[in-house]
Amino acid sequence: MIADIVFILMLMTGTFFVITAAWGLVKFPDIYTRLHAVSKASTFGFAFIVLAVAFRMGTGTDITKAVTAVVFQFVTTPIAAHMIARVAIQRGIKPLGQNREVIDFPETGFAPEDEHEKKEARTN
Amino acid sequence: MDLLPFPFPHIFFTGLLLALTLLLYRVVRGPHVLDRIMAADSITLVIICLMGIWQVTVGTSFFFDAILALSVVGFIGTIALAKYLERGGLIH
Repeated sequence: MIADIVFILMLMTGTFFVITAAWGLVKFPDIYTRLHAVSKASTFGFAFIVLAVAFRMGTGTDITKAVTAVVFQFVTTPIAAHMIARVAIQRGIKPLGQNREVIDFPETGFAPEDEHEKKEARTN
Repeated sequence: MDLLPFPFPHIFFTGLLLALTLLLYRVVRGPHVLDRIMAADSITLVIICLMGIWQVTVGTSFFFDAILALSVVGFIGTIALAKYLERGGLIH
């Protein structure tokens, strides 16, 4: 009984965090803030859901596989997020904010492309 | 077949499908390629969560291998696309 309640609470927490990550990915205005939303919250929700399922299933092999998947995801999601952010900086995508003109981008040979201005130009 | 080992799995399926819909919106509408890449990465994650809840619902446990493999494939796909878009290519 207690195990059922804990299982359902963990599933609810994980689903809540996954929905929060997706909603942040839709709602946030900038590529860096979108990375911030999606790389933390979705990993947290994933860990909750997979560990809940593993402890519900119960055998040692399943728990080992689930813990391996969660540890792998916790290691690799920041790497992917940092690589995407580095590509964005190399491409010259400026973050939104007050001091966005002050930020010094490295010389990479790409023409600087601005996401926000491009979207405004598309809608106009 | 006992299809409901725990009450109301439809809530979690509905929530995760809502998240999948939001991520698909970002994939379709994303202003830049990088938005599409990270939305696709998160779609892999949400599909893994759906597979986990689905295997509890059915009552099997052989989706854990698929969970492990799919997380590896999602990470490698994201890294490959990011390295493809990076300056210098795969080999600097």
